[in-house]
Amino acid sequence: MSTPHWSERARESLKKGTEFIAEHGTHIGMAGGGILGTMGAACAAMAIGSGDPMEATMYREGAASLILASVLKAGGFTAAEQIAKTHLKGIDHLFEDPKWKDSAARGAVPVDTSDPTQGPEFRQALKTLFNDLANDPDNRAEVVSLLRSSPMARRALLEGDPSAELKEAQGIQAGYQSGASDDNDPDPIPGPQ
Amino acid sequence: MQNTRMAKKEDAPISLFNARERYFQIRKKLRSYQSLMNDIKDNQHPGVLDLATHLANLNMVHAQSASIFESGDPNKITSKYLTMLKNFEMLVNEFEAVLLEAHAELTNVK
Repeated sequence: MSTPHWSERARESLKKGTEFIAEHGTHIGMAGGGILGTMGAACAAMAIGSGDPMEATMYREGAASLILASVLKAGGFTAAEQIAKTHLKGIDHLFEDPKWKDSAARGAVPVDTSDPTQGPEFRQALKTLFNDLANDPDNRAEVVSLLRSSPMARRALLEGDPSAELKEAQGIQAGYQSGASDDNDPDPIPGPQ
Repeated sequence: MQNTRMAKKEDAPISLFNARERYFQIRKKLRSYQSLMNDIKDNQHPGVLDLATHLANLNMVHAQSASIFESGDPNKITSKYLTMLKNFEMLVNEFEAVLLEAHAELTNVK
């Protein structure tokens, strides 16, 4: 039995990663907008790599690019810039950011865990992306299942109030932690070295 | 079968007692992917975009869960978080296998 080509497995892994974020993102304190952003980026990447060149071009040049590029930029590795510029259009300005340039010149960019889609134009782009995807039968199922598993992401898509989500995310995270915690810790886990 | 690196001793099950250590192991792995991505960043293959998007997501999850695992405070680490970490480690291992194969093909390393 032969193993599928790496590109097929890359696609499968990307899906699994997105499902993971849909399932666990809230627990670890990602705000709804952050979850939505990463999901959107994954869907956009899948759509851009899809078999239909017309569709792919539409996503590559549209709102999907903006979302995808901003998630890549937040992703903590310098190659993101070149990869974004190779596959996406109209996003070069995102990398003109002096903070990015400084870090990239030093060879290490930080992971940015703030909502990658903050700002009204990104919110709008997300809505556009999800509307477009709804007409794309190959990717529709993904979007639906992802949105289904994250109520916070769903709300972020509908209402788009980042500050409210953030509070909610923090509340949920605090709740998870306090479940097992009572402050005085006798026995810390030994770390590496 | 496809993943021979999984076969090495790789690891007792994740538990409360090794969670912090494993969290740092995963960080090391994630950082090591930077240079592999650099080698293939100019390639037009659409799979590279999938890999990059996936890596960005993995890095975000890892950074976002720092406050849970870094302190090593066992009171913070619920069974939900342990399950999360276990699944996350599997995702990272799977990503690594795919990335290595992509890297070998796209850089023509025999």
